[in-house]
Amino acid sequence: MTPAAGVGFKAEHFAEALAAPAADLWFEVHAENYMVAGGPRLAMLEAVRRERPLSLHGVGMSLAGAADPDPDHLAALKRLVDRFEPELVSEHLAWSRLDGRCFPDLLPVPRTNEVLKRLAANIGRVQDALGRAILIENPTHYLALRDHQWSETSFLCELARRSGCKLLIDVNNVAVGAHNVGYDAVAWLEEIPAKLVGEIHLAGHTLDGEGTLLIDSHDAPVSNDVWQLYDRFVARIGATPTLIERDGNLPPFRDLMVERECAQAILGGNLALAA
Amino acid sequence: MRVYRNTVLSGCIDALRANYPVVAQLLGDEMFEAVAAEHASQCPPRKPVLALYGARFPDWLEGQPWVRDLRYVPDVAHIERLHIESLFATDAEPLQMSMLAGIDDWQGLHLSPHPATRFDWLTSPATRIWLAHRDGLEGKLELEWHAEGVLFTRPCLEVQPVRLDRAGHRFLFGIRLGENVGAAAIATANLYPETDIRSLFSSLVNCGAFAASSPRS
Repeated sequence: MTPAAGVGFKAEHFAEALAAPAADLWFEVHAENYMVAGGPRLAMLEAVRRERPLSLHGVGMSLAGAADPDPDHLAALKRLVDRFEPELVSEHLAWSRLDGRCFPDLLPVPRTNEVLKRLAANIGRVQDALGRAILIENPTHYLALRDHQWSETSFLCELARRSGCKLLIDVNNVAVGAHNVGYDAVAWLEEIPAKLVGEIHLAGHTLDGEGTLLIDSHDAPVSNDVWQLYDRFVARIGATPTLIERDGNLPPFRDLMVERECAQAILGGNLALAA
Repeated sequence: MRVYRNTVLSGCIDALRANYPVVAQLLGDEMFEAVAAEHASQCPPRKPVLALYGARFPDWLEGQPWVRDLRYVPDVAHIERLHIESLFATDAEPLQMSMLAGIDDWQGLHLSPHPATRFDWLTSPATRIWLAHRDGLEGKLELEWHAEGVLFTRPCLEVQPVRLDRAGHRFLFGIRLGENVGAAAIATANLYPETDIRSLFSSLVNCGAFAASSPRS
């Protein structure tokens, strides 16, 4: 895939998304939303796929969970990958399943040797089943867990080395985590080797009701500090497929495309932000 | 930890609201949120596919003490669940009348419902209530309180709701259990002699209720 900017696809935007003339535009969807047997939703994704490259972003594999990946869920993901032939397939460094119960969230794990081993093994199982490498996204942090044995960046690099996966770096997650648990976002991004990055996510965040935590809410435009981090990151690692994520408070398609064109300009190296 | 707890809960509530929009309208935002939160805590998702979450919600609603005065609410929930099931069912070609040309042995003809066909009989006028809310016409709703069925079919990828009468329900019920077309038609005509069976059958075929792969004599 050309390292261009894409947009999260929403059914509400179907007609405009199909008609969008932008060169190299691509779309990403949450894999779980399409894990159904048939019907109009899959037909719509077929139509999008005929026009544009696609990325499947999984939210439910629970890779950091204590159990192996759920075989039914893995089979459902494989069916989607086989049918839609996405350019990119990604998942989260998180857990969301315990004792047969699913939590519709991405829950955090301590970065221990044991978790590293489990994650690498689970990623290996998914990659073996799909017959391809996947991308793993860095989590958002709301809580400083105490039991870490690894820094986050060294943990991600080691995970990639052991499993052969690449990384999906969510710059907004880096900024939100830096605010919530206190680290330097610029230094964090500097520690990620260019060759490991297969995709970048950009999204908006909001301050919680009490004004203390930043929430990775995906319901607002990308903030200026995230644009600055992104510009600097891309200048170092080179053009990399970049997604504008938006889930809540959905604006018209053309407004999302304005943000997409900003990312595209940065990728093309023809926009200079104030240093 | 609260941020995680809130996100998990609101994910479940949002999924229920998306899958039960008319129940949410009937109960109002505040009550629906409380009811959905309670359901999510008692019946949490077992799969990460939230498009299909809430299968147990209609039956669970029936067991809630406050629905004694709102009997139609669980019925509307049943209808919304059938709608979701129809929407996401496997794709298949629907049977068309032209495919039945030349068939005269109706007793030897077995049909399968299309994979997206869903129907039920409800003891409240929940079908009318659901249709009116879906179309934004709830203000004009004039209800006669009687039982009524609902049928969802999905010809050409779009789910279509139909109000189903007793005869239509009896006929489909027989077909689903494996009765042949002739036997289902005779049984329906005996029970509901006022019904025009020929036009009932062709309207069911024309709305895509049966699968094309099914005619077998």
